[in-house]
Parts: sequence; structure tokens; C-alpha cells
Amino acid sequence: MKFILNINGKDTEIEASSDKRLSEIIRSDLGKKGMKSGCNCGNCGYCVVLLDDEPVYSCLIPVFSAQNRSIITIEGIAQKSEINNITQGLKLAGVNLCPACAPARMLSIYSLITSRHSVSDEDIEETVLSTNCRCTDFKTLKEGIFFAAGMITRTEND
Amino acid sequence: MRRISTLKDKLTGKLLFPQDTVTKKSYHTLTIRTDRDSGIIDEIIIPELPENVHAVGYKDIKGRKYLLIAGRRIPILVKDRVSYAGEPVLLLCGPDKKELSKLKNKIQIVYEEPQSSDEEPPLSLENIEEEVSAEESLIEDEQPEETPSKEAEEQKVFYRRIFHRGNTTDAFNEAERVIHGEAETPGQASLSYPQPSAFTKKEGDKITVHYSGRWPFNLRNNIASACSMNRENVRVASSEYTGVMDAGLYSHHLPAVHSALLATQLKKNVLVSYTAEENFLYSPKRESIRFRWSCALDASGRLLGLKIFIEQDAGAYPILCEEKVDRLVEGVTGVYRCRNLTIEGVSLKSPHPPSGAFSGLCLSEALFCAEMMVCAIAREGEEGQYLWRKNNLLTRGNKSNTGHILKKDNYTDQILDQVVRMSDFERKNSSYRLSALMKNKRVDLVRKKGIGLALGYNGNSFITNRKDLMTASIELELDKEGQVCFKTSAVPENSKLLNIWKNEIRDSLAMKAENIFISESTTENETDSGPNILNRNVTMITPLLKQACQGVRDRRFRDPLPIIEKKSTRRISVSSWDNENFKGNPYPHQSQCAAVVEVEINPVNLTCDIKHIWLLIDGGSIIDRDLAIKTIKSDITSTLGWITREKIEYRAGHLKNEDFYDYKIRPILKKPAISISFFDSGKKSPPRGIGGLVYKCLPAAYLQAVNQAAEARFTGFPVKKEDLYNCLVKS
Repeated sequence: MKFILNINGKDTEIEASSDKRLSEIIRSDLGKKGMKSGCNCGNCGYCVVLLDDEPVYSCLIPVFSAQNRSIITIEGIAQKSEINNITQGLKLAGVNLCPACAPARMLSIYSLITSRHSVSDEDIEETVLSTNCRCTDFKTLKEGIFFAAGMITRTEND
Repeated sequence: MRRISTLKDKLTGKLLFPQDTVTKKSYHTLTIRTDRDSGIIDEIIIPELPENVHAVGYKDIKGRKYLLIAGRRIPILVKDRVSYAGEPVLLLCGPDKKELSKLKNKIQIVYEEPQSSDEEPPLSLENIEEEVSAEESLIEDEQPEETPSKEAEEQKVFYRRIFHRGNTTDAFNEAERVIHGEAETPGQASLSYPQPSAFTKKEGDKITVHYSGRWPFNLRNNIASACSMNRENVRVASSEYTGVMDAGLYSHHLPAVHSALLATQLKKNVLVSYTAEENFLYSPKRESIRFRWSCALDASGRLLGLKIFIEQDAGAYPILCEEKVDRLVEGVTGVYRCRNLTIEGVSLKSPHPPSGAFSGLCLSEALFCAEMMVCAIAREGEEGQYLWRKNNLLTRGNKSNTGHILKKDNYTDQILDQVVRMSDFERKNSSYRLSALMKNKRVDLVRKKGIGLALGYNGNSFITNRKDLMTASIELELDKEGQVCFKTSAVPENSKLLNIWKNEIRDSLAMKAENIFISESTTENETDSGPNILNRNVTMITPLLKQACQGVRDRRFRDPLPIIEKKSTRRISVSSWDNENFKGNPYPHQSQCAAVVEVEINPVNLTCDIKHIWLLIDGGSIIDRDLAIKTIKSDITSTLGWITREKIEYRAGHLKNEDFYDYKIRPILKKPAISISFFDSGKKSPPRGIGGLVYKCLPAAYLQAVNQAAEARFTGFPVKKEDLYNCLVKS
């Protein structure tokens, strides 16, 4: 079947069976390898993309349900100015993520910070736990997200 | 020449793993595996294949047909005899994954005879004479009839180590009391990312193999032998490792050799990439280990002698089994003195995938047993947990159990005192014991608390002292343009280590950071820095780099450029450590740790919450405190995963697909509270490597705490809700 997917603001036509995982489409058919794909069952959380600005596990999304919706991958936000702020915030807290979970965490943090005026403790905790990687610890990552949120707010105010 | 390592690079997905480097024209591979754990393959029925799809089997391997890792062999593809369920038999390679999947379902493996359990082991194994040396189990007489020694006789023994010290027979004859006990540690899967995968690029006569393992030179030699190629024509490049588990030493070797074989035969770029499920079912795993022990005690509860029997489930092939069993035998007495010892360790063959190289190479398991044993002995005496440990520690002037006299202070007693003070262990321990004694008077729904204490150490080198494992080289070149290049095949655990190396060069040679380069982890033009495990980056590579910097500095204004400084380490001298006779000090770079864990059991919903973890680390001088804390915290999460939920359970030699979906790794959690301190002896000492230290002390401290809270005698972890139910509710 043919599908039109809106990836990072561009409409792309692809041919695939309707139940193919969105993660496979993004990595194999579209060649966007920034997003990693681990367990294929929603456990590891490495394959996060933004679907209509909400972070989702793309391995659990069949391609037919992603039609006519905005899909943002890590490549789509890599050049945004907020990325620098998030990087600085994480660095300040001493977060040193592994290359496997870093893109997924970045998308979740980006979505959290840019979609809300203020972030609560619960929001941050949910974001931290959305990716099941053990390369960092809860407290440090939470602190990093706080710093990142603060940096973005400060930049906006400036 | 550049390693992508900045946080921004990682965050924006620029860092690629082998499965990410594949191009559209590359061929994909599916591995056809056995569905039985034993038997002989009679025939593989392959349907007619399209022109661009190829099947490669055992007979198609031109060169050596097995991998050679530390003197032991694993077949690259099964010839006829099957050793475990899921062993690779055939490689199906082609441009279209979908087509391969359809063809895979049509391939049939026909077996010669029905599955039987009493088959002979494969004859291709080295050191076969050791298998049948089968000396009588030393402590067999002491055990009840259904001892594992009997089982061991039925199974095949890959390797056996028997260690004596003093006279245990006399000690047991003189004993007032003899106590027996058991301990067991479970198997664990490595679900770390990336999954075993490799991508081979064919460039004329040469091939480049991209993989994610940590022993590139060993892989290069194996590929060259399997493909009958010159070593110079094989380039192996390691990607940055995610560093959350310790299983990347040889678990990526098989897909990498498969990929290279296919690439050379088909003259195409070939990707072999396991799915997470495939990795879970068939890749090397942490082995399960069983310990049985007997202690001879005098009237006052003083330890007179010890007899310990250890069984390691090596899986189908005995990779590093000598190293693991020797580490088990050395470590099973922990940091304590005992004059009379008899320890027997055996590595057993089983129809499971070969065991992997997990953190500590079995030393974690040995120290778990040691501490559980100490806990049981201390319970028998009057001194209590802390005092018994304090009075029996190996300290300066004592002779270690392997006959090495401790000439320098090892500060273990101070570490013990400090962790006890930090955690208020003595008061809490007494209070929880008292609550248990007064249980009749208290309400049943009160949360039950317990606290546990354990000591451990890291053995940061290979105990077997083999040349191929122990040697490491690096090279530092100052060229005519004034640039410095550090050449090593070592794969850093994380990018911060690269910065530490860069800073070392910058400070030592007064160079600008932009003129310092660290080569990629490849086998081309780089020197063999050996297997990247057991904290060798800190204990071996960093000191070598310091020596090389010193060498360049000395020659800088005397010799013409370029200046090349090569530095290497060799094996430990036999006078320091004699592995054959098991004498001396096997670990010159030993770091130490102590842990106290406090748990609380909710008797209503039977959850066991870890309330607080106190850790005291003695790792010599700490190069980067933030990195050290990050390493420890990451290790805590992994260790908690192992001890609280991740347990591999084979059913009749197999793991099923549903086991993969049921196997949940432990995520990072808000709790427990963690207090980490670094021990300061007041004297300057080199960094001794702290990676994996948490595994050496946390499991025993945790289980002791659970046992105290549940008033139970659990011998292994994870402790499930039904165990707590049986213990707390039923009783």
C-alpha cells in the first residue's frame, strides 16, 4: 500500500504493508538512523518520535495510523536553537547519556519543555522514565531537565 | 581519526552503530538456527533460491571453522553435532529482507536421531584431557546424597580447579560445630544496546568490519583465519560502546565473522544484525553458579576450616572457563582469613548458549557467596556481623589465602569502620534483630525492616595470566606539524574517558587541545591494546599513556620529529602470581568497596523496598569525580536489576519467545536513596578502576537485609513475592 507521511515537515510517499512499524519505516525506508531501535516491544524506549508533537514509541505505531499526522524525528529538531539549551542544561547537571538512548531522551525533553509554559515534577519524572536505559541516574537526569527548562525560559525572556 | 563523542553529537543521533551504517545496496542476513539443544544434523533442506540469494553453511567456510578465544573454540557454523538450541547452522544472505524471511520458513533441518541427553561432548574442544581428569569431589563425603557433585559426574566437566591450604581434615575433626550452607546466583541476559551486529564493507582485496565489541584484534585474527585472508587485509573498527553491561567482549564475534565470511564470498557489503529477541534467546548470558559450603567452628564460633564446592554453568562452549573458575576459587573466601581451606571449582557443560563475559568475570558471584557465608558464621558466634568481620579481615602482615603476605596497609578495616559509621549499621542491626525477637508482641502489619553489610574488591586483571589476555600496547606520535596522535585499539566505556586521555596529553606535553588526536578503535595502524574489560582502560591504558607522554617529553627537544613512543605491558611475573600453583597476588590493581543496604518489606502487598544504599569506594585517586559517581550509579541500577528481577530460567534447555516479553529490565527509579563516599587513605595512590565494584558488594548486602527483614534464610536472589508470602504469611 502507498502512504503519505509527513516527516519533519515534508510529505514523503512510501510503499509498505499497513501494519509495518513506523520505526522500521523511518530507519530502513527513509534512512533516518539517528533514532535507534531496540526491543521492538515498547520496553526500551529508544525509538521515540514526536507524533503530532507528542512523544510516542514508534515501534508500537503501525504505519497506517501515522498517516496525515506530523512526525518529527531527531533529525527534525537537530538544528533548532532549543537543542543547544538542552545540551547545556544536561551538561551542567553532569548528565552523560549513552549514544543509544540520547536521541530518544532529547526528543522527550524537547517535547516536554517546548509544549508547556511550566514543567512540574511529575512531568519531568514521566519524561525520565519514558526511556528505559540505565546509563544515567534518576536524580542527575531530573536535575539536567530542570536546568534545560530554566535555560530555555531564560532565553525566551531575554 | 576523529571519534564522535560530544553530548550534542549523541543527542542529535549522529553517532552510528553497525546496523546504522548499512547502505541501500548492502545485503542482509538471516541466521538459520537449530531448534534442538542436542542431536546430529543429517541434512539441511534448502528450497531453490533466487539468483541473488545465497546460503552459506559449514562446508563453505574456506579457512578455520571455529573461533578461537583465549585458547577455547566455538564453531562458526554447526557441522553436524548440535550443542545448544539456537546454534547457527546456515546463513541466508540477500538484498531483500522480506524475501529472506519467506525463504527462511521453507528451510528444514533434518536430524539423524531423536534428541538424547547422554551424548558425548564435541571432540573439537581443547584441553580434553582435563575433562576426564575427574578427580573425586573433595567434599563429597560431607554432603547429603543428592549433591551437585553427583550431577557433575553425569555432566561434562570443562575445567576443574582444586585449591588446598592448611589441613582441612584436622580442622573438621577438631571442630565443635560444623555448619553447612548454600548460595546461588542466577543467569542474566544482556539486553544492552546495540544488539550483536556487524557490517562488513568490501573494498577490493580488503574488508572493513564495523562492530560494537571490545576486543577488535582478537576478532581480526579470527576473521582472517576463517576467511583465509592476510591479517593486513582485515580492518576491524569498533563503535563507541554504550557501556551499560559487560558483555561486549566476544558476544559480537559470531555475527562479525558471519558478516565477513559472507562479504568475502559474495563480494558484497553485508550486514548481520540480531533482533533484540534473537539476542535474548541465543546470545551469551551471565551464567548461573551454585556454591555449597561447610564451615568448621570451635566452641566460641571461631572459624577453623572451610570446604567449598562451586559449579559454574558454562553453557555449550567453555569460553574463558579457566579464568572464571579460578576467579571463583580465589574470590570465594572474600577479604577474610582462613588457615584451612579446600575449594573445588568446576565448569560444567550444559545445553545453553555459551556464558558471556559479564562484570567481574564471576568474581561478583564468588564474593556474594563469601559474604553470605560470613553472615551465617557470624550468626553462630557471639561477636555479631560487624565484629566478626573486623576480627577476621585480611590486613597488613597477614598471609592471604593464596600465600601472599600483605606488606602494605590495605585499609579494609578502616573502610569497614567508616561504612558502619556512615550507615549507623550497628544500632539499626541490633534494633531490627530485637524487633524480630519481639515479633509476638507486635502487630503483624508493621513493615519489616532489615539491614545488610558486605565487603568486596575488584580484581582488575586476568587471573590466568595468559599472554593473549594480559598484553597491551599503545603508541604516541608527535609529528612534524606539531600534532600528537594517541593510537590505541582500546574502546572507551564513555566519551569522558577520551577527554581524560586528551587532558593527560595536553598537560604533560603542554599542547593545545586542537592538536591532540585520538585514533579510532580500529586494527589498522593501531596497536593491540588487548581485551577491553576489567577496568583496563584505567589501570593499564592510562598509565601506559602517562609513560608514553613522559617518553615524548624526554625526547622532544633532542630527537628529530616525528617522535614515536610505544609502550606495552606484559604478563605478571611468576614470582608475583603463579597461576599454575595458585600462589601469590593475582590482582596488583585491586580496588575495594563496602556496602550497607537497608530494606523494608510491606507485609500487606509483599513488596520489598530498598530504602537506602550506602557505598564506600576505595579506588585509589579518582581522576574525574563526576564520571566516577556516574559509573557507580549506573552500576547500582544494573546490579539492582540483576538482584531484584532479571533472572534467566531455561525450561528444558530452552528459552521461549514469550520469555523475552516477560523479561523486563529494571528501569532507573527514584528510589532508593544512595549515599556514595570515596575512601581517602591520606596517601597518594594510582587510580585502580571502580567499574563493576558495586556488583561485588551490593548483592550480598541486599540479600542479608532481606533475610533479616523476612526472618528467612534465602540463599539466592531474586526474592519473589511468593517466597515472601511463604515466609511471612504462611509461616
